[in-house]
Amino acid sequence: MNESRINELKSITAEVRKDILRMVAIAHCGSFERALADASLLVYLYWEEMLLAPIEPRREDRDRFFTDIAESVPALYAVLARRGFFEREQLWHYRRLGAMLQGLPDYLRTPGIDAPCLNAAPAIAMAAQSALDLSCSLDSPRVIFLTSDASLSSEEFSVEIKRIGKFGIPNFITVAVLRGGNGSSDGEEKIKKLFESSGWQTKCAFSEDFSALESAFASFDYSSRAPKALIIMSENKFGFSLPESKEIETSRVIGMGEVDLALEELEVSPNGNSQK
Amino acid sequence: METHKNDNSLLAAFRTVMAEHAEKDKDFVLFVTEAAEVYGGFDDLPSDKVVFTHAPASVSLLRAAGSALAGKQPWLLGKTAEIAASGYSQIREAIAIPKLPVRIAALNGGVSTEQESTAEQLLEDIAIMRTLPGMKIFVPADDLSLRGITDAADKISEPLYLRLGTTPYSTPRDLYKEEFHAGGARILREGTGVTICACGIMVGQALKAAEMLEEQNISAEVVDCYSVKPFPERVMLSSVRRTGCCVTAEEAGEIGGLFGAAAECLGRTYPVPMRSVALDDRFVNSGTPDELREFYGLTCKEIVDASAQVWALRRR
Repeated sequence: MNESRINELKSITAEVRKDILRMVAIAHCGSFERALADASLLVYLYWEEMLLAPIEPRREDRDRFFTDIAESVPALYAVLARRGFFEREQLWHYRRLGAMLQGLPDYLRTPGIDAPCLNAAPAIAMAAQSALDLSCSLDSPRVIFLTSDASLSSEEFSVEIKRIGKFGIPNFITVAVLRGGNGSSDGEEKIKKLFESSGWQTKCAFSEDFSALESAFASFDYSSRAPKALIIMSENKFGFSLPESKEIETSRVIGMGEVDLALEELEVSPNGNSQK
Repeated sequence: METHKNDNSLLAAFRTVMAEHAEKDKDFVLFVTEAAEVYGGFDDLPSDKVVFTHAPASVSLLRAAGSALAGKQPWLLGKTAEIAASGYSQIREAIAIPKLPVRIAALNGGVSTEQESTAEQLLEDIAIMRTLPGMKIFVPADDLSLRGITDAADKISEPLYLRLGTTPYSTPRDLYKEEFHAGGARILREGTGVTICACGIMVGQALKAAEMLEEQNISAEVVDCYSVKPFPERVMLSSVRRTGCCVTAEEAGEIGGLFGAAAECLGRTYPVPMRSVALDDRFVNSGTPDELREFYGLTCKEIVDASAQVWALRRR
């Protein structure tokens, strides 16, 4: 990936983050910190990695995206809108009565949504089974499952990781985002061991490092039946100085003043770097 | 009327029907939970069409949902308690809300479990499933209705819940010429004095009750309400307009099940005296299914008593 493409992706990420802030502020509800943190990863996936066609959102050979991180949904919406699955105008109706963009994605109504986002655990079971069934099709599209350290810490999730590892699903990629205490090298090692001991191919990268993300995805051996796990370390740096809450999952209302300040700081230069 | 008894349970019939569906439908797949696996008997299914999940219902339901997302037409077999109780949030979020065509077959509903504990004898499964928006509910009485319902399920692109018994059934076999569909019901015996609306294993009891009522000069119409949701309003209203009263019979708690569905329908449109033959508001003890049905009043005798009461009060 060359420098200009990296800058382009940075610029798109900044625009996506602005949209997240705007939509959450207009809605007066919904968490935004995690969505802001996951924006760069989603931008990479939707612009560089996944095979998709926004004008044909249900195309059979498309790669599928699953997630169990409800807090990342604003980022997913903002990315889908920027990628052309629907008009950006829809973002300003986020969580409104009758709006297409509900608090959790409406699988039936929203273009680009491949699966419901579940609170019910373990959502990885649903994503893995989809991947397994799709692996038998001619195109064998990939299923990318985005999850967080919160899910990874559950016993039932670990059981599923072991089961999936034994079974072998070559087109299944779990992207595990580590934050807080787990975003350390210790946390990374622990999660990596869990996957590797269960027969998964495992790679690591930083969420804001597009080159590293590209290298990680490219280095997976897709001829092997092993499922893949990409462990992402997230730094929670968004390019602006919004006061951060202690718990990243905490949902809080963001004021318009804070949004204006953040939007100003997020203004990027043509080379993708913040102007401030 | 002559009734045909056999030693087959609906589970046995389900296995046969599933093998036939596996043969003709390329997208067919049956997920069997760890708890249901012990019942065995799926050797007739091609190995690529049956998935023994070796996992509880919560995981199995999500796997079935994932399969539906990949374009398959999945069935899932599990025990009622693990599906309707433990698996509720998975059904709600992963199947009912996105309206995925997952067909859930639940074993051992009501008091059909063999000397199990209260936790295993789930009486509220129909009520729980009825409250889920869009969920269709079928309670077959015999192998032919099961076959009809599974055929109908092929045309349904939304989730459905099918309650199966594992004890032998007993119903007449000479009147089955109708096509089964969601929102349908079968009139198994025509009558003008009282409408007996039953589902599942209680259909056989309703037919016996109708014979006993005939001796008391009460002409009972027996309706096999195999589709609990959507409720067969047309058939019920047509019957009740003739009889002026109604008794429901089900192997479930009386709150929120078939009685609830019938009362909601008739209360809105054509109120008539009603009685319910079902378990009242309590949990049940351990025991054999026959003992439990006798003890908790799920027999033809209770249907006769209830019918005589409503017949005396019937709307004229």
